[in-house]
Amino acid sequence: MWKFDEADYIKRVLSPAVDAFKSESRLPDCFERYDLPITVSDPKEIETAITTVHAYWNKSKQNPRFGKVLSVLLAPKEQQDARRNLLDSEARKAVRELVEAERKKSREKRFAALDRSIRMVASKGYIDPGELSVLLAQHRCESLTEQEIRSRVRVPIRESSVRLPTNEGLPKGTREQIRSGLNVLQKRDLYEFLGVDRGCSKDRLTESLRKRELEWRQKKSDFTLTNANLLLGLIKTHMVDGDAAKYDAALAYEAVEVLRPEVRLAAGDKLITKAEFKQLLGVALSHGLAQETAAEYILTLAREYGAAVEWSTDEETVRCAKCLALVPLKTNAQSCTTCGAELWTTCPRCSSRAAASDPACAKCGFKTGDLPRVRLLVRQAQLELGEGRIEESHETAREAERLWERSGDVAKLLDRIEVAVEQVRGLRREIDETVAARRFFAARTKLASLATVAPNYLGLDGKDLPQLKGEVEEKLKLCKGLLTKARECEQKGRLNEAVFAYQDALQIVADAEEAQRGLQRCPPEPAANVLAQSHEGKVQVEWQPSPAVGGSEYIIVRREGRAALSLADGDVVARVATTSCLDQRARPASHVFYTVFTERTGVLSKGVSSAGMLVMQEVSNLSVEASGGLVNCSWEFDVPEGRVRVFRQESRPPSRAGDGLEIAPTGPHNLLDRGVSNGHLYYYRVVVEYRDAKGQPVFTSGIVRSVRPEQPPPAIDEFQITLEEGVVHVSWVPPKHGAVSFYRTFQKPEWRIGEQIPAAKLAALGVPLRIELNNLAVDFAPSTQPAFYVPVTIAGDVAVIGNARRYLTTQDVSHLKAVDFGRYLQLQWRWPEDSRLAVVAWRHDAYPHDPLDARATTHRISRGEYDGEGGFRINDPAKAPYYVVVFAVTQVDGEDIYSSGISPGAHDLLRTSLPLSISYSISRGNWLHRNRITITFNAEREAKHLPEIVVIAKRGDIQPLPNNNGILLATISDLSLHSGTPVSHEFTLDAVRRPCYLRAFFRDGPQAHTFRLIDPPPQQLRIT
Amino acid sequence: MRQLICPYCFERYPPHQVAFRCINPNASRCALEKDAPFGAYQRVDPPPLMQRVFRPKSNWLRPAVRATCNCGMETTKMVCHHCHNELPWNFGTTDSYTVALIGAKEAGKSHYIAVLINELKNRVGQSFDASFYELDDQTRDRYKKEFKRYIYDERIVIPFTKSGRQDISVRYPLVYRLSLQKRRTLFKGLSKSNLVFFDTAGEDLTHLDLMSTETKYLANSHGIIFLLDPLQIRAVRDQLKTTTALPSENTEPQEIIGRVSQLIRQSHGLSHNEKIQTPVALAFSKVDEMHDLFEPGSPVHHAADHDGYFNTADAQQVNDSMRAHVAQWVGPGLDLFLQHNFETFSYFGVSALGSPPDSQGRLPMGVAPFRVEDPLLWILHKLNVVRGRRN
Repeated sequence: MWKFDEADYIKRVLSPAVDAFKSESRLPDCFERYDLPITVSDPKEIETAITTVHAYWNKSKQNPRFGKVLSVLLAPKEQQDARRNLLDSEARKAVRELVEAERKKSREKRFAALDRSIRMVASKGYIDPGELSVLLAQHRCESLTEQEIRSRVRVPIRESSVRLPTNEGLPKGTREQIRSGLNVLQKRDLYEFLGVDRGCSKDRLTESLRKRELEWRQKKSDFTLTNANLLLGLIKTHMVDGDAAKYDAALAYEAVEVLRPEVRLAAGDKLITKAEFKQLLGVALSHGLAQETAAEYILTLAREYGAAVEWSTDEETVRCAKCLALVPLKTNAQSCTTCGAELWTTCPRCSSRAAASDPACAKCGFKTGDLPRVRLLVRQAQLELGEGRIEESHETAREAERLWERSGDVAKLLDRIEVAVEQVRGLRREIDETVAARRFFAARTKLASLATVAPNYLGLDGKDLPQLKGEVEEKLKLCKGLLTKARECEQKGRLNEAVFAYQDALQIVADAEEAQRGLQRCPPEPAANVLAQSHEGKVQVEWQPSPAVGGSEYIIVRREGRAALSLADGDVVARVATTSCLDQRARPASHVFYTVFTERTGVLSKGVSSAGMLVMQEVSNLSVEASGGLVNCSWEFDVPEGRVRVFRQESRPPSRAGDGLEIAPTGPHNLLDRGVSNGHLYYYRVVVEYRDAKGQPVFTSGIVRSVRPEQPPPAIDEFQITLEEGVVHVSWVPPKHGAVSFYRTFQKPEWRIGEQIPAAKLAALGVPLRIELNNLAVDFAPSTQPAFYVPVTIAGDVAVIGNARRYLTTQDVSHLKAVDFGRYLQLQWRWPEDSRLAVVAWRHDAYPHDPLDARATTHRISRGEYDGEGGFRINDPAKAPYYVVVFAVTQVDGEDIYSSGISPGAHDLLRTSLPLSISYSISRGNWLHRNRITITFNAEREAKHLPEIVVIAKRGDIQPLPNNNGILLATISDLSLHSGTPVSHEFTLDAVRRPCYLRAFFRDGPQAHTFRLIDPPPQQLRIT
Repeated sequence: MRQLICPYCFERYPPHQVAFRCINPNASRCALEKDAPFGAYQRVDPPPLMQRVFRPKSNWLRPAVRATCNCGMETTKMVCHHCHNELPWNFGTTDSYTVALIGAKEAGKSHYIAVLINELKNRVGQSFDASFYELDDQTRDRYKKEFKRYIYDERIVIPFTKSGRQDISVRYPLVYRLSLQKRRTLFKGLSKSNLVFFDTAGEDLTHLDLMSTETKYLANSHGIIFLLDPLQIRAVRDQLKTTTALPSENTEPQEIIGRVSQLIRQSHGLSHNEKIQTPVALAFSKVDEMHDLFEPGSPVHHAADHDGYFNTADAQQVNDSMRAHVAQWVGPGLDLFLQHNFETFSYFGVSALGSPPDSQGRLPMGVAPFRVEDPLLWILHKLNVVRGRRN
């Protein structure tokens, strides 16, 4: 019987729960929180536990230590779930599985190392006491009690049944002889040598011996024969004449003796792995041992050397998920032989069999380890469905589907739930729709159906059945009150008040039939004085409003021939709340009547009609254009009953149809008037003639247009395009008649030169250029693509297209670099991307204006030539300034388009101030005066007051540099030279030792720009 | 007796010892053979299977220019009998001059040789009335793919030359024929000579051992153009305040020329008292970037004037000017070393590209070389191939 002790509950349950919640945000499981054993099955006991524990939680929820956990546990959802899971036997079973799995997981962590050790030693099917004592000694220190360790051992603890052989069987010398002979003959044992099975009878041994002896006698004598004879002799002595069991004992003894060092070696790390065990088994088998015996011997030897063995005989096993015992596969067991738990589950994804202990399907990787959780969810969903909580059930089943996919029980359950969900959702949708439409009577009926299908309905929005019913009934109650009031007013003759009350009732409940019937009994008053007027094919209808209260609308009905008697008797033109409407669909030339009905809350008054009237339509898209002594009118009109008539009057518009000269149309939609003079103003009135009901002609008021025919101006054929500072300038010779405009377009104009177009169509030509003067237009934003410049001459309404020209704004070259190399001037620049040609132009006085500058020297160079030459060279340049400009060339339609050449990178200047060259020569004195040096200066033209000149000598044969890195020999001041008159100076070389190198320099550096000293040949400068 | 020097392995032998390679395309008629000498030169193991090489019957009086293989196929494909590389057509019949181009890593050797060859074909050829053309397809293809393609077609700088150890093609020379109109002779005709250029990877000049295997041609060169990048000289960089990045491994010019002289001495067995007779042209590249370092009247500012003759006076002036500046930049050590080791040397200032490439290695302004032909013309003048005149 379940008992509750507060102190004990706090110690065992609540305190650990608080710690777990703090560290891992984990709540105790269903059993733990109510302190119930996991095997509990008595519903009364469970109910008692739940009630008692809940009471205790409520009492302790203010406790600062437990408050947080208890507030979560006391949440209605938690309580509800726990109660349902514990009280329902199937759900409880599922929860139990889940809890067991969870608890097992946590236990597994603690027991992981121990289990590993146990698996190792217990896989042979038992543990001997020695192994157990080792296990206890090893794992006690890991805070595991002996009881816990023993509880993990699920195999019998017993002594091994096999003892290692101690009987040698045969003397050592004999054994060695046999082994040596067998090795030579490459046989495993004597039985194999004889070709008989082990354990055969003595007769069989004798017979085989005799056969072998006969065989070997026929063979040629050699080393093998000697050994064979030896073996045959030993067989006769020890097996046939002696005891064959001794030889068997000797075999076992030998095998153990061979195994012993091998096992000792393998047991060096205190663990014989599965691979090592297999090798040892192979060794033992090669010495004639049976497999089971060999395995036992190895295990016994391993124990001797204190090593654990990953024992295996290549037998496939499956581990029990519950007790971890290994169950051989060959037994084909479905449940654990130790604890009886199910060993297998079916993977829902690939339908293959998966071990229940595996966390995932080995074939497809599906997480089959979630099975316990899925079982619980399925049960929960079933319970929720049974309780009519369809939406909750659906959510739970969906969670199960996420874990287990749609298979097995999950699929069946989901199918059931989804049918129910669909039905419930359909009903709920209908209820929501009727409520939104204020049809509360209908909603009440739907709610009744929902209550039948899902008595515990709880919508996803949290609304349950009572709540929904309450909302509906509240509205119906309000409606009922209003209807009572309306009936009273109606009975007392206060019709307007009754109408208001009925309308209010309908406003609240749209499907209140009693209110509708009440309103039918009180129809609205009709409108008055309906008037209809035709204007440009449309009819304007106006009327005086109805005196009815309670918000009315008017329905206007059109009918040809007579007035409409009801809404269905004609075409409804409009439904408006105002007192006028426009009918745009009245058939032109028809005789129509308009009837107005007043409507109040769906109830119509009697109709009031207008007088009959003729619908008249004017022509549309009327265009009147003039060109040189000719006026062309065109229009659109498609009413067969109407006739278009045109009247012309000069200087003033015709006042009505028949005023002025009537011009007969040339066709159904146009007219060509040739009787006009250029420069005169003409007005045209275009009217339509209809016939009324009596056949009398009736005219529309008509449309008036004016026009002034003009002489067409001449087309512009020639004009110039230039690019200045990034702006395109277009210039032309102004015509005597008409104004000129220019348009820029990227498409070739569709009109040819000389073609006349209406001035209104000029916009289609493109972007107009700004007109600066009467012969100059500018394009401030020229395009980088080739564009057409189209001249247009305009006079009056006539525009004449000129000769369109294609033009491209060409970019300048950049980074022009001119270098003077004496014999030639080297020009290099960067080409614009789209340019393959350039014109190099230079002048000596100013920069060339353009490539066609008559005073400039020009040279045309292609990009290929430039690349080959590495630039452009002006060979043998004159001693004069060079103003160089490079114009990039782009070819459009075979025409060269030059860049402006005004950007800084497109021009350069060279040789602006050529220095005056002063040459000098050096001569030495005769052999008597070898140290005397004469320096002679000469100038190409007169040079006065030259800067101070110094003569520097440097020892050796390396010339001195201007920065005075030598010995000063002479200084020549204020030297003046005349063309052709050399001037000499003498000095001595006493200050410097020979050989030396002489050079003359101007002392002041900046003078180098004005004068330049030309060195003589090095032979003169080298003084030896 | 006239000796032929193989431009690949530099073996010397008389022209009549030239071998021939069969050109029979049918391997069943003339079986392919493992060409061990060729494999050894190419450093491939096992040796490639190639058409057989054979020595025809010929004597020194009449060296063979064609031969017939045992299979009956006549061939004119001459190969070196030592390394089995195909010799340029008519190679043994005219004088051959090997010009080696050396310099530190990133000195601009490949750019220089690319531009030099283009100039020799065009401008220089025009002024000397000379024809300059490739002698074999390998030269033609290599010049087109490894030199011209970059700077003239794609207008970008040439990638670093790989070491001869990495790229066997570097070990192959560019072989050209210079055909000059004879002047001032009684007999009209053409003077022909073969020019063999070697472009060396800078890193192959960093160790003497490496040079002795990868740049064997240096010892056998008739002239050496030693290209120096002045921007790698700290004194110059300080004056120019250039932002050009220095190469990661910068070898001092004196180290390189020292190794070259040692290699030549070892190969020719020269004693320390003997000077090397090979003319050495010390060409300072990128002078376009050093414009401001030379005085306004310096000959380095002016273009050379070789109008049919090598202008020796101009070369002398440039030599004196450059020599003075070099002594100022790197000290007199380099000049003294050259004086003590080389019989003939001269200084030059050149610019292969005319302007530096942009930061992305492009040459947007094109290639405008300056005085690139001077060092080669000087060497050819010293070898009596080109006449000189003092203007």
